[in-house]
Amino acid sequence: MSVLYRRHIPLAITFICGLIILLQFSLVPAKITEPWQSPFQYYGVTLTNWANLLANFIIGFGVVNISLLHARRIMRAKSWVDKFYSIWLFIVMAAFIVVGLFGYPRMWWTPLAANWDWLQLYVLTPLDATVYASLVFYMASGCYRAFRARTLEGAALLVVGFLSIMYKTPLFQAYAPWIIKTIDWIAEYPAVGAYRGIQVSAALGAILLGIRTLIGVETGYLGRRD
Amino acid sequence: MAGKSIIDVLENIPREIIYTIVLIAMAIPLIRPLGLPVPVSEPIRKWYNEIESLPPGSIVLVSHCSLGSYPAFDSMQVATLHHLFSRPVKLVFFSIDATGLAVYDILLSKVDPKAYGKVYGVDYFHIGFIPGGETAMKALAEDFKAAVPSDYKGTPISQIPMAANIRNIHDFTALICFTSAGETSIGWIRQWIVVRPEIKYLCCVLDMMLPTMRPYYEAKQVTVLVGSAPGGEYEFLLGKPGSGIKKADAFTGAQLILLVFIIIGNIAAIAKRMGKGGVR
Repeated sequence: MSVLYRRHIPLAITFICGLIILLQFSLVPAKITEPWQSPFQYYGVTLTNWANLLANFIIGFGVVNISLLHARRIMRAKSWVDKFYSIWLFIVMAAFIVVGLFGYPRMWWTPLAANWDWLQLYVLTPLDATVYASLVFYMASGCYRAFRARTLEGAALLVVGFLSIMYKTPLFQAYAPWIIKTIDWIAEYPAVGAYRGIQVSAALGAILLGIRTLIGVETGYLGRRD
Repeated sequence: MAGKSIIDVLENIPREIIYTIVLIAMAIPLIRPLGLPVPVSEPIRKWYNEIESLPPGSIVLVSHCSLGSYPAFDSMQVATLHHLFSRPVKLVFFSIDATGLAVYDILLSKVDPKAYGKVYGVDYFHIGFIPGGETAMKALAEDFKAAVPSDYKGTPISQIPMAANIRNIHDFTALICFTSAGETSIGWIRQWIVVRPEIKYLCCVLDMMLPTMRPYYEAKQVTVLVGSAPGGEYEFLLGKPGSGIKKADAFTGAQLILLVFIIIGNIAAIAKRMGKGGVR
């Protein structure tokens, strides 16, 4: 493929799209109500809706990508134990796709509508919630090991961490209201100050990355080095 | 643990023991509530007052959480929906996550809009999941009907009476977001609050995300900022006790145990260092 297709056309598309969105944000008055009142608004809105459509395709792309990855893993695995989780992934994915398609209200034929609700409520919900809720145990163990006054910084972390846990404990909120005032002060002044510094630095970095991407210096998103 | 002193053991308690004790400390109050006091904190009071002060006919966008984080937001979301449905406001539900539609079904199985005289399409409707994250938020802000051709059941938006009055961000009075994702809570600020600062932004995030969101709250870009944990306080304030009040006791149990573990770990570490010849 020539450099024109691999590099120049994608960079030109990025530049034009980025410029339209930038101009839409900078030049279109905040009070504008309808897209056709400004060409920048019109093209900005159109591009945004295209991006949402593309995001749908990305979900499909993810399915293809994960299928290829696990198909390769099944072919290369030496034992059934190694193959098991990949095969299980295909079984579950197939079940969700079939039940999802024929249980979806917008499909013309929905014989599996009840199954879809069942899968969501009794399979997906408990599994998702279990994975998430199991974090509490890791966090408890992590706090016990991390909150040690080994150094001055460690002691500061211990004190603030200990007070923060007390702050979030309803019992202490009721009987030791001074904790609320202490943590509120820490959150309002030192923590906000530190976070503002981090966020402003990150924002400046994002602006620079945006400018580099727009002018074609940053080409990492093209997926290859030229 | 053979050959280890008691101090060594206390300094490095096996994680299996910690997990078991934390599990017991959480399970007991859930099975048999302790009836500990539930103080109503200032952010929850503010959250309540902001919903209470929404003018009649206001259109509110409710961006609910994903399925994975649902247990964390359960009580806050249910209590908020009870409150919102009891007010003369119109609700637009939105899911920023593909699994969010299941959350909407669960929420409506706990809060019956009909009990408040609310009718689907007239007082509330769900626009479904729109992929894209921040671009979806931007699209909703700019041209609502172009971004949402139909509701989550496939009914064309033109057939939903309530949607006739919604063109873009300027028709919304408030935005209520429940999320465990930083890019979502901050994304709404970037795509909505920056464009229209008059919108009331009520943001409920995981408690560990509060420090990240606090600068936006101090900058008045977030009207009310609360964590997901104090759902019990809101239930208490509304007079609708639910799972949140039970969870408050479980939080107390688990967090007290955690504090005890931290104290034990530090005492053991200090004792060990002193035994080796003083604090370094």
